[in-house]
Amino acid sequence: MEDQSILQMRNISKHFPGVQALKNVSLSLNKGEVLALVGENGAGKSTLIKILSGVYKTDSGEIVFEGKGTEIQHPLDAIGLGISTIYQETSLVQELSVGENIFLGRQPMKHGRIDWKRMNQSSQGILSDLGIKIKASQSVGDLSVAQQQFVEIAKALSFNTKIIVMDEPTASITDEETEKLFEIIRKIQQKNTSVIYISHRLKEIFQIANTVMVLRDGEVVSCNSIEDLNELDVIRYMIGRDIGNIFSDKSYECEEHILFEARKLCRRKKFNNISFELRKGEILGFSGLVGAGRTEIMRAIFGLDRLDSGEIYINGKKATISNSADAIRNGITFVSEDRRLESIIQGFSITKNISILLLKALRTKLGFIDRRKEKTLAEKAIKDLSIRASSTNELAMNLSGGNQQKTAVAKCLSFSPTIMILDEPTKGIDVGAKKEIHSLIKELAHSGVGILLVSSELPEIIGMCHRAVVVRDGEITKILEGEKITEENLLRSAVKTSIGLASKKDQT
Amino acid sequence: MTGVADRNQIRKTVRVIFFSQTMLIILLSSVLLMTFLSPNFLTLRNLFNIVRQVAVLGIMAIGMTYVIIGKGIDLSISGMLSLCAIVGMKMQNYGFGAVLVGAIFVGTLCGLLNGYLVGKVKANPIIVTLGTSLVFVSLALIYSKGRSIINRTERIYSFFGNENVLGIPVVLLLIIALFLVAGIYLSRSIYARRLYAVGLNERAALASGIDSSKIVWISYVVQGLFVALASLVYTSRLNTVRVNIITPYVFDVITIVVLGGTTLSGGYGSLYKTFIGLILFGVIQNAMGLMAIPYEFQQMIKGIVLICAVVYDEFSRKRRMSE
Repeated sequence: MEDQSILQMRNISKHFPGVQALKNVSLSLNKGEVLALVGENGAGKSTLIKILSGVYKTDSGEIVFEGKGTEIQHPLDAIGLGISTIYQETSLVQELSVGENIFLGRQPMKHGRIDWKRMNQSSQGILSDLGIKIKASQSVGDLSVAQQQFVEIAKALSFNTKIIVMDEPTASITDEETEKLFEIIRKIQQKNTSVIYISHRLKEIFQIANTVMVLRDGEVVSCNSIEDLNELDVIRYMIGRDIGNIFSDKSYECEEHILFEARKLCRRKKFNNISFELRKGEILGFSGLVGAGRTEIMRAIFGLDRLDSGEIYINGKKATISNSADAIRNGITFVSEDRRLESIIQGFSITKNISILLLKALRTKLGFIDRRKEKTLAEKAIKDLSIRASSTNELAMNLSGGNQQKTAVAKCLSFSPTIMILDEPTKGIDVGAKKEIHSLIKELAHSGVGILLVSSELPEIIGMCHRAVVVRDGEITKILEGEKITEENLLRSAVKTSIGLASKKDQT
Repeated sequence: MTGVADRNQIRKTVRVIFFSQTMLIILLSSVLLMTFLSPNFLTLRNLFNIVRQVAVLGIMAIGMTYVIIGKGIDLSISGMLSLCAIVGMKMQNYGFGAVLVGAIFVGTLCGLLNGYLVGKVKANPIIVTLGTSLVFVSLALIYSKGRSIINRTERIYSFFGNENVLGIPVVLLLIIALFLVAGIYLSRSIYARRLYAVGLNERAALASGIDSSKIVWISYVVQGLFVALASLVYTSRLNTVRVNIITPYVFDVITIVVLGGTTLSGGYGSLYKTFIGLILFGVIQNAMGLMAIPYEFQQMIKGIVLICAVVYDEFSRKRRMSE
């Protein structure tokens, strides 16, 4: 076993201001093994890779390479050891030939000049070894993205590389090219070179990987051999939130009246062809993986980002929303997922935060803000939502996360909106405050407000929503209704899979 | 036990007052110090003198306070002042009203240009206003053909800068009136609330339906307007007006605003603070004169004062954050 192991990362931790990106992550890789690293955006995959390739320094933990403890302080250290990383953006020089790129900085020389013949021959050798049909003399700029990746792999191998790290290599290449890539990876494997493969395309992982390691919130949640897993297991590990500990009181009904309708909303590279309706008093959930495009859709509806095409109807009438002021005028309010930087002004008091949408209504005859009315408004909100603060003048930055969130909600409520967008309203707040916010959302819906609820917590979607829209890669894959909103249905629509999940995992 | 709690409470209150009124305390102590050091300091004549010396700076500092609260800065005010003054003087043949209208028109136009570039185009305010500063000075030079313009305005004009009403300089009354009006507006108006919001957190302001470009834009127009008003006081005290390319006004005005405690990182400050900063600046300048400190040293002292003010600003910002 000892001689099989090429790399061990032990108890790696990394802290960035405000987040613990990695917590005691350990990884072990054998010679010729393909290890798939999966997890949602922000799970810590990239951080781990950057530590391995010397871009970041680890806070604690050790790296053992070929049985010896090593320190990787700099990208050059990693390359020196034989660890090559291929990022999503190619690092090849577009103007140079394939051969020049492979031997960049160490071109074979003859009489003080580049020995073109030898360079092209050696490059061609490496390429054909991998079964890559590219001419070494060709210019890299003329190659497709996939072909450029192949060149990068060839380049990496020319360095006597022992581990190749690939960061989402298939993100922007075709299925056919993916097949080709897998062939190359298998060839690399035969040469006893190891691969760390990052992707969230489960289908591919099951084709190519030997081992799957799942990261969530900076921690390893599972590391298993591929034979012991199916796709649903992996998804469960990726999303991995407790199921079934909240509310399933859906005794209230929403009305028939359609408050809001989105028709074929598009924003380039973010989302495409988004159409849905929202009824009066309805809670419409938006589920999907982090990074699927849910937040982007909401931001565009609220006028914070521009729509490339598509129409929005409010109460059956077409509405033009080109900025957030338009959206607010149309009765839409928005609680951003970025509470700290977007839904609350930290340096403002609770009062000033709550009144900010209502300044015009608080105007006195002289055009000033009626501060007595403003204070009454804030006092009422603090009481209604039981915001815990010493006074209405307390600065928002001194409040706990839950109370800040309540303040953000109070700000929207004071405006009596007809439509409310809530983006991850319970992210990172304590259980008590979470419950309060849940019942508040229900009360609101009950009073006739239409609610768009973006949430990555499945129980929240299952327990709260009348209907749930599932978004994947910027498109709606499914709209589930009532009893059909189940963990399995949501997951199946949220992740690209190849096999029928329900049939394979049916004991639940 | 309650005695200890009370004493802690008192200590805390004292600390809060001390930190929120640091500049006032420094001002009062420097006045006290100067009174001992120089018998000429605490005389009515000298105090009025201080006001006359800082009047032009003070009026421009009002506009600068607005701009800095909106997280901007305006380095073009010296050039703008020259241009407003020259245009105003060129209008003097048509009467005092024309001077007033001319200066205000030009100031507003300059502010509109700065505001467009910073607010709408989102160009870096330091670089943009450095650029427009040169443009304004050049325009003033071209318009005046580089020559001095003799001030031949009617009495009503010089009344501003030089005369007294009931023994009080008109300038002092004017300054107090401007600070009061602009100060109340800054603390109570809807526009000002939005300006603070944009200065503190532009993203959150945008998400609250505030058109941040417009808010920032307006703050530069306010600056232009106050520079125009300052140009009237400036020219009323002079016999001839000449474009001076190197004027220390920008430097002094920013020192005054920061000295008062308005934060350069935006969203925090008030005109009350700027007023304290103005008087403190005036006292320091006056003290250096009374104590016959050579000009070259005066410049160094001013520089050190600005640096201390900025350092203190950073210190108090961190304090606010941690509280």
